[in-house]
Amino acid sequence: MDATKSVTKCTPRSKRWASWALVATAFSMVTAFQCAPITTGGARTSIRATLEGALPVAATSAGWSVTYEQALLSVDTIRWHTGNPVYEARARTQQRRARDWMRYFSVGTAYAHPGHYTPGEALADTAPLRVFDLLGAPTQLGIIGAVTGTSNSASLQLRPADAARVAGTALGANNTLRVQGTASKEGVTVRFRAELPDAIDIDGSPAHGEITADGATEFRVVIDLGAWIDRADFSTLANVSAGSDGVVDVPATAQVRNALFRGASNGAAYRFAVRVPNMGQ
Amino acid sequence: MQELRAVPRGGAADLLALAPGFFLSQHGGEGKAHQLFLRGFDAEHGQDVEFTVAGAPVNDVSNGHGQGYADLNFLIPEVVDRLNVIEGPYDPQQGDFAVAASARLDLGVRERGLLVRGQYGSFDAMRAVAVWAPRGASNETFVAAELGRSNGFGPSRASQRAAAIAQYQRSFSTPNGSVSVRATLQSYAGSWQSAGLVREPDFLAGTQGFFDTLDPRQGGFSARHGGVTEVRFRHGALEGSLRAWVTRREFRVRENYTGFLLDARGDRYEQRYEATSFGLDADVRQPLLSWLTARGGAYARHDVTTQSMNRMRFMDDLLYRRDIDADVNATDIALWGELEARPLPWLEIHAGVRADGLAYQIDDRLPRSGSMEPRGRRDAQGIHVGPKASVRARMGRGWSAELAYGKGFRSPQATTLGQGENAPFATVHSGEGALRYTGLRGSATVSGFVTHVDRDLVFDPVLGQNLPVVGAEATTRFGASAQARLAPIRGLALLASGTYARATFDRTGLSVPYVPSLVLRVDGAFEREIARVRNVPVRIAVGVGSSLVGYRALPFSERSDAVFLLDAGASVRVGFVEVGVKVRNVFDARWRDAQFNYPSDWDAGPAGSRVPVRHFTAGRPLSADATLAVIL
Repeated sequence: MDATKSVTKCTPRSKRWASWALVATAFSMVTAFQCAPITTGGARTSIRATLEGALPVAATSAGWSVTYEQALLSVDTIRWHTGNPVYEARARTQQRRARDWMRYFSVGTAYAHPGHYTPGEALADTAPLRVFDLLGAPTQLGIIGAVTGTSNSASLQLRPADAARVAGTALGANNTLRVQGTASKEGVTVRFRAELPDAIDIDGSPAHGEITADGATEFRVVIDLGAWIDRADFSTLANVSAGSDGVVDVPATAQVRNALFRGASNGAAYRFAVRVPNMGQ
Repeated sequence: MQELRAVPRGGAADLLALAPGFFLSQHGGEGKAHQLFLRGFDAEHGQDVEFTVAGAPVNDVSNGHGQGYADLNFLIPEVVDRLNVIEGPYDPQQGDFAVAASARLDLGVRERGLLVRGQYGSFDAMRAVAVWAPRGASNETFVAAELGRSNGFGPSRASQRAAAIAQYQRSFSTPNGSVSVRATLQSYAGSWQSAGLVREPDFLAGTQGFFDTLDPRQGGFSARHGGVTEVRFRHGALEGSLRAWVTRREFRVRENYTGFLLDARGDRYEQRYEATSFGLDADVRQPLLSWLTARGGAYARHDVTTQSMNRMRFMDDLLYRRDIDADVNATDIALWGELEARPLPWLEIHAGVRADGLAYQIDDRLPRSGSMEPRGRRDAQGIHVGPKASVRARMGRGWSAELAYGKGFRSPQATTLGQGENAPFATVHSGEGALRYTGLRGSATVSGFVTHVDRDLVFDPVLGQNLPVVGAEATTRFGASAQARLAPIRGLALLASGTYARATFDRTGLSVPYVPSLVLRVDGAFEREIARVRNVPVRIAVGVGSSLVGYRALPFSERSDAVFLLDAGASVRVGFVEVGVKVRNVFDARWRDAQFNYPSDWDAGPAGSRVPVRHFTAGRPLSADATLAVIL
């Protein structure tokens, strides 16, 4: 609004009024400035997480009972996202439609593949990690920088470890994981040892949980060692000679190795459970 | 404004700080348009402030870097004569982009003669300007040219500029009035490097310096060439003016906010915008009765633009992806009218309306999904009608009160429009109440305002521009403003202003990020002849300008630091020679010009953290310039 340009006689009284009006305005502005809360939504916080392995509880789908002697994994980054897990978006859509009686009179949507994973925003992630012994006690990942929000999915980056990272572990340099164990089936026992040098990305695993501002949210990352070797047929190692320690080193071209790669790349082998301490979960 | 010319300023755009609530940021490099904050608005590079210079609009229509991008760097400060800011959309003459305010800059030179000024200072900054204002001609007649360069206050901050403005104005008497003719020509080109942003965690960890850059290939180029002709006439009681203008714009910017977050090849983008714009603008004012006057006008603008946005490989600028590739033709035709009534000697009522029809033709050359065929042409059109009204009452003894309401708009970014879409304007409703006091030695104003915008925009670092917030576009601002102007003694001018504004999203009640709540500004200047030596006048000028900018709300409920800056300058003129010095950021405050919270990843190798972190651009440190001028 344009200022009025009229000039009138200035009296001491009007000067005082003008001064008081300005002082009062300035005071109220500063007061409001000091008291106004900042709420742009969300907050910076942290989460805690543990990582552990889960031993097989049953025979593999090929009927092998496997016991592990060693399971080492090199993890680069674990990240929690707002996006729905890769299979879940479609499943939720179907649930909604199941409540819709009109579906009985219409043709449903055909899905050729589960769709593309859309991670959304990253809520938390770990710094480059290290080599984990999945047979040991759950490993604390420490305090992980995060922002508040609803986590729906998570991703893991499994990366070959360099010499520095594998120092002090049995994992060979430039390998991502190493397993050693015994597989038994119908009286046949195979001691095996396998290492994978491949980089593996696990994207879109379900990881539902609310990351709260108080930093109390804790995730439990469980790696299903049974799923890793579920498709392995250890009978294919019958023609491979064992080493001096009686353990068969799985060749790069063996079915067991291929099955291990597919198992380690299977998102179902990685479970993220939120643990709220007060709930005792 | 002339009384405060001794206050040091970075350029003509900094004059806007004289208006209450304006805060300007230049985080993109010296040469890029300023980012504007006003009354709770993050107007980015001009999306919410309508600018005209010498009668020609400045805001770029559908500039891919920012809707309404307004680059004022083509102005030569020495020839800016008047600045008129209308805060709010209360005048029917205000059009597109007048959401928070309109700013009109008029050119002229009051001190006639030849001025040659050289300037050298910190960071190897050099500037040379020459202004010839022929004696005997009107104040609006002059020729001016400016050359400047600087290495900048850190790596990747060098800039260069060249500008020329010529204007001729002449008035003629007619039997029943007068006719005034003015022609303005202008040409400008500037280029700049930009340091971009620093990650706060890296700065705190000591792995990055305060003035460092993460991507040294950022920067831009901007050019503007154009002309305006204006005819003003008075025929009896009828007054009016007619303007025609044409402008050619060329703009290119390269920026990288996110490093390698989106693509391992690098996220740096290049945005290009070229436009040829021309238009007409006419207004008349005719008294109808002794107490009633009518105003009216028409406005037409057409923009022929080409724009693109590409992603570039970090190491060698190779374009690897094209996000925008389109031609946009935009037309804005408006009619407006207003009645001014003075039914009582102390009462003044304004009631008006403005109607704008906007049309767009978009030729989108990007391929359709799953095809090599281009998306092709789309067209869209829309009409916006905005009523405006104000009531002013003079209460005597210099006091007056005023109430105002206005509905304004911002045009949409054309590349987002679909075929046949009714162009979705951002509509603003604004109301204001003000109390003014005008005395012999000064004036004071206090006001309160409320502003509602139905489609607001918030900065998005991925695209480096303000975008709609899906599902929460509507925002409301409440605020208060105060300004006092004082001239207690001859030669001394003081101007103080403060604005508090609170901006929130309607649906969520959350604060609008990046907007400062409080902006305080004090300018003071003393300019006077103090002596005569051998009959040669000795004139001194001292100026001080200070800004206090309160915290800015940042995403994740964080706040930026408050900023206090002080600039000072002084000059002595003896006869036709003037020497001066100006110091900016006197206390050498380490301040963060812009601050953001978003994820970035600057490691081209293994993926780093993608959780949002604080980023900032370093503000200008202490700098000093010396000037030598000859005025003949």
